[in-house]
Amino acid sequence: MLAYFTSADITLSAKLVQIMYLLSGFFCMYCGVRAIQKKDNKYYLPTGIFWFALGIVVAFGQWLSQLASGIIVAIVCIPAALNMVKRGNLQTAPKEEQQRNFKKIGMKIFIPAFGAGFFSIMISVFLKGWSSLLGSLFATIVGVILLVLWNKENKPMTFLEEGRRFLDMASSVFIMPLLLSCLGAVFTRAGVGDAFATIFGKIIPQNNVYIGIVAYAVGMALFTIIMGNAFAAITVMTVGVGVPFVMNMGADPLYMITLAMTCGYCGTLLTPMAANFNIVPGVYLEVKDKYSIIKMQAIPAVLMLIFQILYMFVVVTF
Amino acid sequence: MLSLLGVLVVIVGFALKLQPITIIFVSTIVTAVCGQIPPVELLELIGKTFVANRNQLITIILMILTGTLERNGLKEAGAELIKKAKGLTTGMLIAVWGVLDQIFIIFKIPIGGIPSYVRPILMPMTLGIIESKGLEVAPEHEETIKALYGKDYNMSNFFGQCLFSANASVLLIQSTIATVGLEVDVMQIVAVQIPVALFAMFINAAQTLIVDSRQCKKHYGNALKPAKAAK
Repeated sequence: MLAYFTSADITLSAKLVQIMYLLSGFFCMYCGVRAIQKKDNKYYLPTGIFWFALGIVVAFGQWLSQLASGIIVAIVCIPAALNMVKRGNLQTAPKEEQQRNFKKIGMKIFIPAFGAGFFSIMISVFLKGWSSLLGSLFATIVGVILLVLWNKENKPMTFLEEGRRFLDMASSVFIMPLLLSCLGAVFTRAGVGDAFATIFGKIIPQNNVYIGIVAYAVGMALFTIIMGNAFAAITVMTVGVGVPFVMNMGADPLYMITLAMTCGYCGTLLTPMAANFNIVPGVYLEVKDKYSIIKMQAIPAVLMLIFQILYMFVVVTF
Repeated sequence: MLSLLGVLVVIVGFALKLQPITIIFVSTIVTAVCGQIPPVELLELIGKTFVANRNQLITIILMILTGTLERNGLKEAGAELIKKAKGLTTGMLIAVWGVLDQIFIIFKIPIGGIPSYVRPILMPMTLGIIESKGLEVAPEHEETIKALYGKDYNMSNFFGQCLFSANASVLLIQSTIATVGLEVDVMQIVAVQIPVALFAMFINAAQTLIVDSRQCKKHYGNALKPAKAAK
């Protein structure tokens, strides 16, 4: 590990990215230890194991063998799959304290808030070859310094515990996209794509990239309507329809896959399956018709889908 | 063909609203068994993919900052910002909020959300616009406003999030593109999404303005207009 950081062959950007993983991993481990210490809910032990094991693989993934990482990922998944990763009872600061702090700091609180986006853009414009993910690292460092300067009440423990509150809110679903990437790799290895291609090959004409695009885009939306989740749909649809009927016809995967994701979001707008977006907010607002948000979203969802299909057509044509 | 069973598990599992991670876990095992992937190879494949894509978890580091921002009055600042927008119609206020919301999401700023923002701050402000003209808010109009805010947040969120380079959706797109054998930088994905985000911003605002002005005309006639002219 030390050799990695002293090696002259590895770029500074890559080293900083690894430092970011180490910090993130340590923070997860801290959250795991705290969950076990604080016993916020009766599943404190599986919850603690989940965050701690996740921290190990995030921090040291670069240096662990593939098999060791795989075993740790399995350990991470077991409490999550058994639905034993639970939230603690972490509360935000009382409104009075937020107001008092706002009086002290004022509107310049927006400066650190815009940091992550700002630094990502700066890196991609000015530091060629650097990972724009480092924007998050720089934003955190600068933001923490500013907050300490502006408000003496912000102690190291404040940052750790407030961060833990956010991570706790994100819960185990936080790692779902990553696990879907893994599932996608397993699908590919097991030949799911070929099987799909055989089936869809009988329905979709093979030599027409435009029909392929429509099938991929509309398929993403439909799959998402059924499953309620575009992240799950993209893994399946790209292997099944995207690769054989769109990408293999010479369309640029960068455009096609990127837009397929947001075509899936058009499906999310239309489905009661995505209850946390379409139904629960209505409950907070006490709507009389619980589908009123979905109804309002129907027109923009269809327009967005058409816009994106046309966008894909333009990309393959020119 | 048997390997498709794993896909079926995903579709049925999500449709039945089981825990996402449970579904993924079961589907992985079913696919591995049907596809005859030996356990050690399966674990190695998962370990390799997980580590290669763990950049999707990079926002963990940002949480240390964002959690503390809220404690230091970020939400109060957001409310202050909205209060500056005076003299707007209901539709304009909702539309402006939609645009602001999308900007916050693009920069991953933790402001917004229905329970923490719309319900306590924006709903009373919006209804207040009508009431300040001495009119009573029509129930149908109130329901429309609620639905517009619900839609506003989803449109801004879904089509704004892909402009933040470290967002999970962008990184999942990146890893999916990698399975096709193409390495791209996250910023390339963001660039592809810019027209989509702009179009969404436009459609979202336009729909809000049209729907709301129809409601205003229907329920209040011209009663809203003279008050404006008197100013």
